[in-house]
Amino acid sequence: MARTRAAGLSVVVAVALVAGGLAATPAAAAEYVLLVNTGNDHPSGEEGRAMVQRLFLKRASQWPDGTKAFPLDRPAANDAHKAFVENVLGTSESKLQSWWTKLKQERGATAPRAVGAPSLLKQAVGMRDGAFGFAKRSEVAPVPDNIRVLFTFDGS
Amino acid sequence: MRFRSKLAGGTAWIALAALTTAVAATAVPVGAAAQDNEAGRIEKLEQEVRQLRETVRQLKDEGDGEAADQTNEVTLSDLDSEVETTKKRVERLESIAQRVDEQVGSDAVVNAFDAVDLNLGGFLDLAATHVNGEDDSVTSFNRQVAELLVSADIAEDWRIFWAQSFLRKAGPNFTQNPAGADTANPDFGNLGGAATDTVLAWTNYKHTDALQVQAGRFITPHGIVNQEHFPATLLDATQPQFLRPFSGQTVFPNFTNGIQLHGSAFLGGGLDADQISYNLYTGNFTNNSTEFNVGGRVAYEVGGMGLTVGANATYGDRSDQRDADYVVVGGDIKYDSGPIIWKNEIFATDEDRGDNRLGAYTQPGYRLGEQWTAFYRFDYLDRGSDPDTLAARLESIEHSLGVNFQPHSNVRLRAILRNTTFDGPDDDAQTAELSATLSF
Repeated sequence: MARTRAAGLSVVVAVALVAGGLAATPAAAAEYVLLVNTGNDHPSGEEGRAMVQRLFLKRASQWPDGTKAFPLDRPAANDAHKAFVENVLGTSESKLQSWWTKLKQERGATAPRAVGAPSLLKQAVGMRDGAFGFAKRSEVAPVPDNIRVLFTFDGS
Repeated sequence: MRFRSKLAGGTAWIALAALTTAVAATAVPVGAAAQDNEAGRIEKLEQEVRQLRETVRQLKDEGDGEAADQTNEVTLSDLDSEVETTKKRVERLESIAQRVDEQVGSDAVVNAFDAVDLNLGGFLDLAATHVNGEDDSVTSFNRQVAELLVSADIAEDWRIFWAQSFLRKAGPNFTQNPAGADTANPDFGNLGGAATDTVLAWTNYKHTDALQVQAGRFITPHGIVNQEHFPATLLDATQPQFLRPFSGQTVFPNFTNGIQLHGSAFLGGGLDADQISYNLYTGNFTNNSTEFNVGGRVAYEVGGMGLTVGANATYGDRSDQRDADYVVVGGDIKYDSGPIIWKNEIFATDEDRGDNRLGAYTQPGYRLGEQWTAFYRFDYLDRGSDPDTLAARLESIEHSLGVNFQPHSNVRLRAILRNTTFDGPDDDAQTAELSATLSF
């Protein structure tokens, strides 16, 4: 009887330890993807990330091969937009809005159009050379043949 | 499909039953001849059994194959899942269509005659100001500016930009008319009725990011604040002294009617690549339409640091009445990183007629979170002398301290205290200004 109780207690302790360990483990960051049209040969890695940053902020207007860029945004409340602003643009939402206000009034330029539905985002990127957008990987899988992932980035 | 398997199995059993019947029906005769016959029949039966076994085996294999094929075929649950996914997509699309319909409504839709892209924006800039002079003080709702901005992309690389201002405003007299101002008795002058001013009207052709041509009425591309220009983006809508009055040429003309080449390029492909930009222009100042100014700016942005350094130069003539050539050289440095936004500019002139002019300011700002920004500005201006009359103009130093509050990205509220000290008349004036700029 004592051996049975000891075994039972050991099991309870083991379960408690495992549960505690699981609770202490931070949730894995969501994975986001930057989608581009496959019609052009775009650089990847840090160079691709830098180019996306410049093109999205409209500090440049063309990809290195001369293709006119067509950046697409997501609604401000969307998690992908927040992750993109923080981890790809490296800025805050208020600074980004100030940037668009400045651009609007100095150059007559506007912020990239925000696309809500992931299915529409895939269509918009796929139908235009130079287009790019971003989303949660799970929202856009499977990726159709006319678009590809240029790079991935984490959420907050 | 399962029916075919059952049929195959049934066929096998029927075959065996037939065989059994055949065996039973076949009588085995006695004797040697009978034994030969028997051997032959047995051999024949054995052959039939082998054939039947082969047939059963083939039927069994076919049944197994059909079962395997069934796992690759669409089941009802797959179809259900596909229908659910499609339903959700349709619901999302209907939601989008509903939102678009709400925005468009049932009234007429505005169309551009001919434009690839047409954008409409603007801002409203309001201010209430109290000025306390040596001998008198005055308060007024002295500024109401409504400005409409229109941007039209008429082709892929061609843009028109137009800024039309409907304004009713007056600054303190020592700003608007420093030559004749009584600094001890500040006044706002007569606001009068609304005036309209075509602030900007230019067209831009972009050959590449590095080579663009702009023509029309544009902001003279010098310095920082003059180019940023629009109140919605400025911590202080009352610009540095050397840029007052609005549309003047205290140091250089704030606006030019002419043509400019401009562009920018990144030096390298990395995240922290530096950027170089340039402007080269020629044109006329509005109040001096027969004399040409020529000038430019080169700026270098250090990538990843938020630091931009600019060098400026211009040559022109201040008067159409007589020769009053001048040269301006200046520098600007802007640091914008993290919570710090720090702007600095200095411009000095060499005047052929009258005294030289010097304007400089430094404006550190600090972002206190997402909505609040505090700033201080030290501002010095030596206005030189009038090029026509050679009368000396005011020299003044300003200290400004203010906060901006942005409850929304399109709303900027300000509270600013300013102390202006004049040299010449030994007066000073204290100003308290509350202003709001709302943009769309």
